[in-house]
Formats: sequence, structure tokens, C-alpha cells
Amino acid sequence: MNWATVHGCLDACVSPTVVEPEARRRLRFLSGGALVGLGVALCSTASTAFVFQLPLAAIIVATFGIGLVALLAGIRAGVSPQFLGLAALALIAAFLFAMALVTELQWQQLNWLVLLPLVALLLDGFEPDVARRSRFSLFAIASVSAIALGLAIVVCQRLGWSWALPESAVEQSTALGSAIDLTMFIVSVTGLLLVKQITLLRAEREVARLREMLAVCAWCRRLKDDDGAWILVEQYVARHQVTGLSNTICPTCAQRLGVDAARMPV
Amino acid sequence: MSARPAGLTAPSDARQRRLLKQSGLLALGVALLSAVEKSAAGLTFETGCELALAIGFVVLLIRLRRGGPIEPIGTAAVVLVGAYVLVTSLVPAETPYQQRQWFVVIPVMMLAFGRPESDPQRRLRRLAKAALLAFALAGLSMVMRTFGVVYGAPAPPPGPLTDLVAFTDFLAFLIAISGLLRGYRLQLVDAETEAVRLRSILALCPSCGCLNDADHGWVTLETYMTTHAASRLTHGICPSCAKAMEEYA
Repeated sequence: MNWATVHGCLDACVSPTVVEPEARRRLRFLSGGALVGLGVALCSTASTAFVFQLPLAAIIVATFGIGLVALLAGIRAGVSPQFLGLAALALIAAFLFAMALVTELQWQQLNWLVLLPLVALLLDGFEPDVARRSRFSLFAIASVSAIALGLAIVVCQRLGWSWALPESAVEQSTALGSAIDLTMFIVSVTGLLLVKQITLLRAEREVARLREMLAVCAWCRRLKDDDGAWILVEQYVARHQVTGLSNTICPTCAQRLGVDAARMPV
Repeated sequence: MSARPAGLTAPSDARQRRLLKQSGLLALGVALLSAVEKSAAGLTFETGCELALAIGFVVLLIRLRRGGPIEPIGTAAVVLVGAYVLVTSLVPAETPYQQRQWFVVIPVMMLAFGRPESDPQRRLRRLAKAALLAFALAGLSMVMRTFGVVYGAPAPPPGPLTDLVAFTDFLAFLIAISGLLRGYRLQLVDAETEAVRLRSILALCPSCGCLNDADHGWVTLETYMTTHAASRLTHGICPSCAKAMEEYA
């Protein structure tokens, strides 16, 4: 699979008006995450509506899907990444809260709340300038709200504030439902991690290329080594075991010296 | 690994070691806490599992402290946690589905413990493999349960105590996943810091003083400064030029 193509597709989802690399990277991640979420939402709309016959849950999942489409539209329209990040977190939080109150208390639904700190961590951009870093990180807000929402779900369920169906209707579908739920969960988490890795591809390639850049003296062609010493190309190659060098002659020098370059060792 | 321009430190495995140590200590603490909580709830088998997990973490931490290579320790940690989750997902409980979600910790661990400077394509493949492993183990757990492979005492009846146990499990899950991801993000910050430093090394033509900009090719210093918005330019005159102009006038 060519990951670079996927990276290009994600880049095409981002508005061309956004030029700052860090903002673009964040939006690339958001659009990839929204696409993963959209896939999961479509699958679970189908399964809740047709397999489990839970119309209310299906409507909630479908609304979540529409919200994700709106998010993608926002990314394409060039809305600020900060706003879109907060909107994505709010959308996920509202969706998970509503879904947890449709059936009776199922503890595995609480674990879905881990998506909040996960998305916040992967979305949080890197700001090299310490002064410009925000004091309240998105991650801290998301973690606290995940715990608070978990607590709120348990309290609401135990007080009976939910739209749960009678237990018999849910009981028969529990095993299959939980298998589907678990599959969706693993797909969502690893999908988000994968999207993050893909959005980093270009940056990593840049670091690799920059690392290979060597300082070379414009006059004597010596190279600057890690320890700051200026050394000959041959010494450099020997020290770093880049490749072996073999002594030969280039065509220009050969002509100048009157040697047949083709007969020299390569 | 080729050389870097002078002044840049080699990407050492010191941070990886620190991350492994911190995660190991955190996991050890969580395992011991769970052992206490489960023995209080009267679950003998689960307490044994937690203690076995804690011993495994202690062994790994000792190996790490003795300076063993990182990759096998990371892999051993993944195997240990995978085996633990598989065994505990077969214990009769109120919340079997919640326990199976712990399998997702495998790809997250793979990502957090992977070496940051390894080939990105390879890392993506490893992440995909880890996800498949999580799926396979979760499927295995479901099949085994369906065929009645269940250990330990029957689940206690639901009540405030099981609520507390399940909520603690949710908190542990939240802490485990976000702790591992924070470690992963620190690696990213390292890589970013290096990229920022490397980008600040510019190719300068000694003859005309132009800079080689990645986006615009060879540009004058003034153009570079204005397009990169690193700092604004203003016009001033330096003392030696001012003196020369005075003499000219």
C-alpha cells in the first residue's frame, strides 16, 4: 500500500487557503480522523437500524455522521484549526453521551470515552515557541471531560434517566452487538493512530533529508564532522562507514592529464 | 546513520528507556492497586492474575535497569499485557465486553515503544500488524468464551461494589491509553524540535549572500525574512556604513 498517496488525498481535503505547515498537518489529521469516523458511523447506522432495530440509536449515529460531514466541509472551507478541533471533540463527546443513554448501562460504552484524550493528544500541535503555547492543553480538558462524562453516564443510568428499551429486547442481541462494538472500537483507535502516522510521513522525510545535509567548505571541500573537525571527504567516509571509496579519475581530469578514463578502475 | 551537522545530538535511546521505565512503574502501580481492590472484592483468581502481571513488570524493569536492549523488552511487555488481557477476559464478570476492549492497548504500546527514528513505512506496517493481533486475540477470547472456557468463581451480583470495580477499570483504561500516548507524543516533540533546528540551518551563497529556501529557491536575505515572517525587517544603517557615507558626503 502506498501511504504517500493516502497522505496526498488527506492533503487535498484541506483548504488551499491554509498555508502554515503546522495548521495544515493538524487539519490533515482531522480530515483523516473524520473519514475514519464516517466509515464507523455508516457501519453502525446500518447495524443498529437493520440488525438490532434500535431506531433511536440509528438516528443518533446518523446525526453524528452528518456532524462529521459538516466538519469535513469546515476543513475544506478553511475554518481555523483550533475551532475545528474543539468542535470535533464536542461532537464526539455529545455522541458518546447520547449513545450511552439509549440502552441500559453497558460498561464497554464508557471505554469509548478514551477517544476524547486520544484525539486531543494526536491533534495537539507542536508549538516550538514556549511563549505561544496555550496554558490549558487540549489534552487536559479532554481527559477531565472524559472522566466527568463517564461519571455522568453512570449517575444518569443509576437514577433511571435513560431511554433504555426493556431488557428482553436487548438481551438476545448482546453477544453479536458487543462483537460489532469491539470491532468498531479497535478500528477507530488504530485508525486514528494510523492517520496520525500518515500525516507525519512528510515531516519525517524532511528530517531524514535535513539530517543528511552536511556542511561543506566552499573552498577546500572539507566536511564538518559531528565533533566540529573539518576533515577530508575520504576521512569522513571512513569514519562514518557510509560506503567504501575507490580511487579513480573523472573524465574531465582524465582529459586534462591525457589518460584514458575507460581503462581506470571504477 | 549518517552524520548530522555539528551541534545536533544523536537520537539516543535514553528517552525510550525513560518512557519504558515510567510506563512499567505506572503499570506496576495500577496492577498492585487492582490486586488490592480485587482481593477486597473477594475475587481470588483475578487477584492472582494481577499479582502475576505485577511480577512480570518487576522482571522487565530489572532487565531494563541492567541495561538490556530495548526492543526485546518492549516486545516482552506487549506479550505480557496481551496474555494478561486474554486470561482476564475469560473470567466470569459483569463486564466481559469492557475487558475485551483492553486488547486495543497492544497497538498503542507498539506505537509508543517503537523506535522513533525507524523507517516510517516499517512503523506503519508494524502498527497494522499490532491491530490485526488485537483483533485476533479478541476473536480468540470470544470463541473460547462461547465454547465455555471460563475460569474462576461466578460473577458477583451487580451492586455498588461491581459498579465501583467497573468504574475503576474504566479509569485505569483511560490512564493506560493516554499515558502511553503521551510518551509517544514526547517522541514527536523531539523529532519536531530537531526539524526546527535543522530548518534553521540555511544554505548561504558566499558570493552574493542569497539563501537557498526550500519553497522559493535562491532568494535574497530580505525576501527570505519577509516570506518566513520569522522577524520583520526594518531599515537602519550600521555604524561603519554611516561613517563611510559621511566621508563620501
